[in-house]
Amino acid sequence: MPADLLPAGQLIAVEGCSGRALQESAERLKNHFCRKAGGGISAWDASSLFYELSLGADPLQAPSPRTLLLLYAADLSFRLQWQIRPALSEGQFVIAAPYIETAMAFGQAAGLPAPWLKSLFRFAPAAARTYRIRESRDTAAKIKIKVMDGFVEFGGLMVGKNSCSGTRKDLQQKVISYLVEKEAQGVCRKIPSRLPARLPA
Amino acid sequence: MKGKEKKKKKARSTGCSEAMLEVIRRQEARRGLLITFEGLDGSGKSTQRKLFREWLKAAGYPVVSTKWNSSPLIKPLIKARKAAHSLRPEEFSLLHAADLRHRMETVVLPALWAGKTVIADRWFFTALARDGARGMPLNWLLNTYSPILWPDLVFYFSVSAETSTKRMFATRSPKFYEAGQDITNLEDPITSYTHFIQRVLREYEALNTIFQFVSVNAEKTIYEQHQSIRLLFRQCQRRPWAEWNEEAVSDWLRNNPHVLEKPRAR
Repeated sequence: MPADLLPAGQLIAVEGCSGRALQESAERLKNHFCRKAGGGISAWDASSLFYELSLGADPLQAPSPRTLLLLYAADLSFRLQWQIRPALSEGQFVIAAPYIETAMAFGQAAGLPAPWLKSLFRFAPAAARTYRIRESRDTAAKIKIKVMDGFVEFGGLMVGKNSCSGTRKDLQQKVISYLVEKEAQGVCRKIPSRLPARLPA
Repeated sequence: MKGKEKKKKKARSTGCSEAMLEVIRRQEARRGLLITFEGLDGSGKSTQRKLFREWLKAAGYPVVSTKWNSSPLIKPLIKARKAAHSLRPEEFSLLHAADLRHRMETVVLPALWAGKTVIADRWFFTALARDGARGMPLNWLLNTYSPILWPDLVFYFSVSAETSTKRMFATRSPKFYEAGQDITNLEDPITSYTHFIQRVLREYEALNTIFQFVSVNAEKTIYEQHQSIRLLFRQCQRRPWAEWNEEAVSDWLRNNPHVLEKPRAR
């Protein structure tokens, strides 16, 4: 089967630093892949965990990177239970934006060990295809962000004051570097300007 | 192996720098003790915890208490989801792990570092028992709760499932997750609890064997249990942080560099 063809009922992960760019890319992929087979997008904070957290946030009690990753994993568990698995079981496409690599990137950027992160996300099935959005370290630093734009934005604002993790912009840069490296390793690929013309039968 | 080489090997194996290990070793004599109370609901551990706390305070120990699922940041999130009955075991487990991690970093470790005794009503062993009873794999749970902060002393209140059920539900019905109805799928909460608590008890007994808790016979009178706890506390030996907890403590210190900063001269 040609590499660009994906069978129906598949999970496509979209990873990246910028929450807004992730949403836009996810929409584009959804319009393309879900047109015939059906399906939808599973986005960050589907369980509203982070939204609720932002309402009651006390700056003195901000969660650490590890706590943030545990919460991300909890939200992902919710997404798998209520969005991803039901859609896949009906043979639909699911665009998970973001999925695991963004969280892994953030975790490592914040100083968490890779083996811990890998084991934490063990419960999540592998995506059939992982894309990363087109973003560079230079342009990402210039974009004005809001805390609920995405996980990296939220996490960056929570831990950004901590000199160990670096500033928010340091974290963003490291997240993008991680994803660039994953692309070089063949774990993910940049979303092509022209998506595959044919959908699988 | 010579002393310096041993220290280097230790630092390499935990990812903790030698300088950080040295800081942790120097704090050993000043830091407080972490004492945890574990057991089934209705085992009497909360009663004993309160008596123990009052006794320690009367003896001049500065004491801080912490309870399961009590982080002001995470507790409301868990409460809302429990009310909706929407939690799968995995999500439930991860939220409890986030709660414990947050309390560890904001309450427990700051208190221990300052030389206070911390009494915890439940620790991560509760997750191993309850989430294990819900089918979560032990190695995944251990990783999720890593880096683990090992207590100096774990009191385990050994009680039968029947006693637990009788004491807990003499006047009320168990709640949905308390009864394990999310996994037993039984309509009657008491029947569900009876099934679920047997599983939890089996997990606790296995953990007791692995981790060698200090067992307290919870079938004895309140007075006898309290006397026994006082004696066990006096005999308690510390678990040196540099051997047991360097990863958890160094992780916390890295995220809280102000702890090591010297106060500025006025």
